[in-house]
Amino acid sequence: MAESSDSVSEPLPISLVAGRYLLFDINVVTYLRRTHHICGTLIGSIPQIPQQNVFLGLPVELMPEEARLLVEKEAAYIVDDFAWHKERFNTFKGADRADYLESLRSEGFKARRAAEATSQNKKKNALAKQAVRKSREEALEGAAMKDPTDGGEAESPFDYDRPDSPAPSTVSISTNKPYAVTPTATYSTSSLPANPAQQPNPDTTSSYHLFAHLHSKDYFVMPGLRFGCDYNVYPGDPLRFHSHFAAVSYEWDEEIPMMDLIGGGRLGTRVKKAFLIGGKDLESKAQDGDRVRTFSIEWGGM
Amino acid sequence: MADTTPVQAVQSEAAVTPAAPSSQPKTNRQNVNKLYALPAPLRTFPLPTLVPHNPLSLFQILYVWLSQTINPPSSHFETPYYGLWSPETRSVHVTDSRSIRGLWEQGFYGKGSLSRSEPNWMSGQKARRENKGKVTSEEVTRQRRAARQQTKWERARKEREAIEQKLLEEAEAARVSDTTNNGDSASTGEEGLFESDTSVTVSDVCEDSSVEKYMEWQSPVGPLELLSLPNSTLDLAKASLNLTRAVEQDVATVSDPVSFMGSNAAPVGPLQILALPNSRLERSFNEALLSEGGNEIVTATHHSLKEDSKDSFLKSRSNENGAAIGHGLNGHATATKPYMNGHSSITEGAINGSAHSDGTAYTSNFLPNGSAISASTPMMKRRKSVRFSPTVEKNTFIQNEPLSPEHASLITTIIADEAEPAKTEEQEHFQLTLEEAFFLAYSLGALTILDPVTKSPISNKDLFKVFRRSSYFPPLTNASFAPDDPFMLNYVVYHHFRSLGWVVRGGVKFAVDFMLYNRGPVFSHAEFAVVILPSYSDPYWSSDVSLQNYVKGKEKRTWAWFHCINRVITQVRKTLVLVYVDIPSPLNDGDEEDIGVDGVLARYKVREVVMQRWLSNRQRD
Repeated sequence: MAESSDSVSEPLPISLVAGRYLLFDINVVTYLRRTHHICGTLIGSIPQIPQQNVFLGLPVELMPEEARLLVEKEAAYIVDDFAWHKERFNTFKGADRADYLESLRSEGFKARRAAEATSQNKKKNALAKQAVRKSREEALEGAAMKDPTDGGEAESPFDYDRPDSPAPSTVSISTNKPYAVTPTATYSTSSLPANPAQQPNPDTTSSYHLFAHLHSKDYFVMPGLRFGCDYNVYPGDPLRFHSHFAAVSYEWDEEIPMMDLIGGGRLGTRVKKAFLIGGKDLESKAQDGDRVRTFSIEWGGM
Repeated sequence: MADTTPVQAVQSEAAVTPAAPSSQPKTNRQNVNKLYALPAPLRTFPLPTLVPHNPLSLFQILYVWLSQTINPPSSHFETPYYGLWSPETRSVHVTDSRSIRGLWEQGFYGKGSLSRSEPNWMSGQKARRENKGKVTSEEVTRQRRAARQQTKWERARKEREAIEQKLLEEAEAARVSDTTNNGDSASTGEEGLFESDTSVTVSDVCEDSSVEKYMEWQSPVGPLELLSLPNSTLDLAKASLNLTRAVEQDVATVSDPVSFMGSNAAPVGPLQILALPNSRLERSFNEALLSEGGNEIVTATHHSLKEDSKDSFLKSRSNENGAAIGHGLNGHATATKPYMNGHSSITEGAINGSAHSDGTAYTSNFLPNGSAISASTPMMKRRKSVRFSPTVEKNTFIQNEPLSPEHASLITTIIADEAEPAKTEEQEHFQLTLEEAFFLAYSLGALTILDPVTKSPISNKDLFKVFRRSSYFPPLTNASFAPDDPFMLNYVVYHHFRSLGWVVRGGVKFAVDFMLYNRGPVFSHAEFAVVILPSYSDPYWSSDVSLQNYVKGKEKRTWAWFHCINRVITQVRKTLVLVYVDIPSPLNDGDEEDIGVDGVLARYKVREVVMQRWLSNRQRD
């Protein structure tokens, strides 16, 4: 990536598409993860392997809580993609339009150049490997017959990488045409308002208080559906740590079914997490802080 | 012991035709099969088998059939089982041993109040007195749990060590990169997640803050650190206080564990958790003790170390009482000792990571009947100035019992009783849940439930009302009943599965309503876990806005909840069954009176949905 997260400047636009808060820019995603401890969830399939769902790609979906937190910190603002598209697409003319098309073109070129660079590298490596192997084989066996499997193995990477025509010339010719880039938005990001008007906060459930509380304690908070809880709480980046808590939010005076405590405690302990419940204490005397209190439960008999 | 007559009647009839069992002793399986031969507390009278080449057998069949038609024998026992309705515990108590054994062996109803399920507290006590070790299933479970606990702490320790190692490396790397960054502004020392094109400023900020945090409060990377984090501002203040105090004291006293007593040690084992103060009051008392009577405690501990058996436990307690600490404080004074141990081991553990090996040594020594002193002596040889008192170990020894020191003292008395060779009296009773009791009384007619005050039998009709009212907490006092009260839901489902021949038992421990056993818990594990979900499908429930809201609240379940239950059940290799109970519209009291219990129950419908986790890439056959 030529661009790094430096090029990202707050506040960031978060696209609201069909009630989901989405991020389409990898730089924004890394920036949010690094700076704001907001990870989101990758939900896009990978173009080359669309049938698998273990490894996913862009876009990143943010929980409503994450979106709200970012908006409240004034690090981001919500762009309703549908409304914005309707508004902008009709008036997309003249210089704006040319700019937009040009940006698409340059993106395409960039992508093409990157792809070619990697393929060239690959080719070089493969050729070098091939040369080494050949010389070794010749040294070892001389005129002896080649082992059929060995030969097949040796040839396959080479065949795969070699284009029909000699390599160097194609590379230089092909830069004429940009790759077709599928834009993620029907407007250029520059056309977005730099300082958006005050918007209502994204709708969240009452569990937002717990989310914000945990986030303010420098935890990484991820959605917890997999572990049957509201949030999965990590002590650091989820790539480095296992989560420590399975958090469930309750209203302060809500009746908590005993079964939920048993199930949560049991499951949490089983997967080596503490089962954490928390809520906002509305009657708390403490004026400072968010008045969220949390309790963790461990199942003793396992 | 049990109701042997019907069992033997059936057995003898069955034993006529097959070859008589040889004199060799029966296997465990055979014993179990014989003991639990009756699936319900009822008698059955099957016709004798027809042997084609023996015409006499035909006559025998005819005779039995005729005699049974003319004078039908009752399938109920002459004397029914008796239970006592206990409104306080909202259960039916059974105390006579014939009823207890009968109800347990013929259909696996109820549970012992001091046992996991089968009422075998008494035999467990006997076994313990005779020093037999593991006889009851509770005993086995306890040992298994102790072993599991040990492996868990061991695992946690290893993980923590690894993480600490990693953190040290990272801190080292950060320092290196810091110095290089300061030396020349080029960003060379990138590590961790930071990509090489990160700006210097960003990475600098991050590293600095993280290192700083690590110094102040270690970022919680393991269970230890997590526990040692301050829980409140109070703790924070305490910690700083302790720090200054520790600095003030000279080296000799610092090495003395007593000086650490007041600080908030992170509990690293069950012992330490036991010893944590339960309230702020105790905490402040702890402080007071530290300032005045710390030395007294130490002497008490030494003293008790010289004693050498279980009995010394009690003696040392009385010694401490004599040491003017006062009885009310007694439990606490003992409890502070593991506290110091815990803390000193932590301070060491932070340096060389040996904290958990101490904890392990503890647990391994606390097998039942292990002598307390043998556990403590090898530890005493260590270099550390940690005092171990047998009192404390006594506490851990019963680690599966209630945790607080007050309870510990209660346990002491039990142990004292046990030590005497005198006969232990039965302290356990048998409990039936509302559903079980009503099924036995109403559907099978095998149980007579007595009123706690008048000691007279309660009729099924009254029982139905009483149980429905008591299924709420606190019990309802008004007479009108909702068609969706918890008892109705549970009973309908219970009755449904019992009628289909399943053995139904409560499933609270797996966070579900019922567990279904094929034949019974002694034969196999439960196969299915039943979750009851009310379904308000009757048009009445959607006729009104307020009703719709009510229904919404009742039917509301989250996906997180479902995932949680499903995972718990899948982990224990059972199949989750969602049982929907169609709730009819409510009746007024007069109508309900008219149609009776049968009519009320007939209005409910039950639907079953089997749920299974299905992963497309794993369940490909």
